[in-house]
Amino acid sequence: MAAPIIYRDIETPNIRSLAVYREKGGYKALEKALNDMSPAAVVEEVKKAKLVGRGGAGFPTGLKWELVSKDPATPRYIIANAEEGEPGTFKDRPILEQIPHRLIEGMAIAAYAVGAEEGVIVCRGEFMEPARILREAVAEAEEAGLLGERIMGKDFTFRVWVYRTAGAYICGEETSLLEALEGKPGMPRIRPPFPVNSGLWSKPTALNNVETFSNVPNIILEGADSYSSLGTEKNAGTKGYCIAGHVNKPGVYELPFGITLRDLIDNHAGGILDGRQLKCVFPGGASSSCLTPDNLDVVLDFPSVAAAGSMLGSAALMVVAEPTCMVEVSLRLARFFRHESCGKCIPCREGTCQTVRLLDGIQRGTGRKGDIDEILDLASVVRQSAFCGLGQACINPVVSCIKHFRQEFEEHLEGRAACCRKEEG
Amino acid sequence: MSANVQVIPESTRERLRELFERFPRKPDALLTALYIVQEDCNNLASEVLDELAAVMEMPKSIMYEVVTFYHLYSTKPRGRNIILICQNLCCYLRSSDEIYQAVYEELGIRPGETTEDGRFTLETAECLAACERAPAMMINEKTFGPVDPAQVKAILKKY
Ligand SMILES: Cc1cc2nc3c(=O)[nH]c(=O)nc-3n(C[C@H](O)[C@H](O)[C@H](O)COP(=O)(O)O)c2cc1C
Ligand code: SF4
Repeated sequence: MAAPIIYRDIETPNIRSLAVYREKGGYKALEKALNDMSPAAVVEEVKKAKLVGRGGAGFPTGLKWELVSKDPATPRYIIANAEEGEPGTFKDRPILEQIPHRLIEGMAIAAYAVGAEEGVIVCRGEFMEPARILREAVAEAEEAGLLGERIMGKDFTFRVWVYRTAGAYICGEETSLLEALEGKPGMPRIRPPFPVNSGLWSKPTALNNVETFSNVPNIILEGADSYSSLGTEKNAGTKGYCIAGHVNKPGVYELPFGITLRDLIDNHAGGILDGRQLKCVFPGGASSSCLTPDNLDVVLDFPSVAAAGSMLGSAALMVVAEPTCMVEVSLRLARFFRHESCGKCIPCREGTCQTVRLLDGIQRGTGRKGDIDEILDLASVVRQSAFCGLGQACINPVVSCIKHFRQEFEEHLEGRAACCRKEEG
Repeated sequence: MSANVQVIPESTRERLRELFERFPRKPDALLTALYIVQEDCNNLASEVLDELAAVMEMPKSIMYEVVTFYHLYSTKPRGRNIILICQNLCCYLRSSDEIYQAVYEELGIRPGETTEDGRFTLETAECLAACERAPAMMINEKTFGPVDPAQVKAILKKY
């Protein structure tokens, strides 16, 4: 199925260039917004489309923009979150590298809607190549009068620049990202105040994920009704589902919300790698709890995955087949969070270290009898007391592995697991 | 070292001046300034930060906090080429450990180490947003994947 919205035309040769993007109807949505719609009407249309954020939290985008537009403080800012740090997520990169003008157009429409004159695309440090492509695209758009002063002859000014943070997963969290953009360590700020009121340099800021912005041109051009005819009742439109790990055809598949996990694995991702047996799936990246084969019929929208006991997050589906050791899987995820904990608050900084220590002992068979339960206790303390989303979610995946595969943990602890013996000594 | 020998060369200082034109307040530009200096001076060692502190008109301690917070800055000498290999779940499931091993066999370095000739530094990486190409590896700005351990030698040869 050809990608209907976000990645539409991505296969077109050289769609990265402004000329080809415009041939395919690019910047027509911006033109329509500027000519035929008031800023409030744009916000209204996005609300009506029921667009929710694609960065992980699923917050309604129209509402966010309304809050920014109603804050009297100026200047206001538009920020595209191009951190793409959640393990298993690789849906924004193709937009940045292959069809950057869709993002820029979406940001310009947002700027018009909320009354912002400046926008920043904030890339993760490792995105040197995407950042270069984006800078070229911005320069092209400026040259053509699509960014800058008096865009399309209207009383509308909007400039965009591209920024790179320097390698820290926490910078994907919106307030950490703002700290990094202000030249500081990316440690989260207390919320409230939320970025909509106090964002970049304490000014009202509409901060959205790259994929979120990339839906906007379609909503404006085709209308909210056409857009929300795709998807489920709660989640309109399409999603760039990332699926990787043990599947035959890992990739990003843009599909309407409402597809089931089974359908995605079997009919899009080519089934489980080499015909192996499915063991579990982390549906929303490293911060999500795993789902077992019993959950194959779960619908992949935000409420349904939550009802199944996990979260869709950025729709980063990491698929694990038999015979993978779940203690090792837990350790990989736990080490990731230990490495990425920003250190601001003790529950997370200590909790992530202790989780790794306990898991390591379990894997080596040198742990104590109560260590598995100790991880569960620790997890509940950290979940309740951590300062930001990283700490609140980070032990969930380990807890879910213990819940579904406890026997494997016990076998390791008792030195009966064959899979990890080689690690001894 | 005598006081008039600069570790940050004039050409780099010029790049910094251009940067500061875009940022009304210098400290806001710190992350980008650090990238520029690291690019030109190889790394952000103590004496480099001393000079940068003077240029930025901010305490060295704050700069040091930023340098050590982010993974992509280094206070130690780095090789001319930086290799990053993802160690996160999707790449692990696709045998990224074998890529580490292949690099070790070819260059004799483990994560955090630099080859004696200064050609390569190897670092671990968390998810590089390239899981469909797992196992993934970056050399400088370029992303490779899926990497077959047998290809590692040929890839490294190009650098
Ligand atoms: C630890 C952590 C990491 C995050 N990483 C990202 C990320 O890489 N990209 C992203 O867009 N949002 C990320 N988010 C979510 C952002 O905080 C924010 O909700 C989102 O960018 C808002 O945009 P949206 O409403 O369009 O989704 C992260 C959140 C947390 C708690
Ligand atoms: S929960 Fe973790 S990442 Fe978040 S503020 Fe605390 S230490 Fe930092």
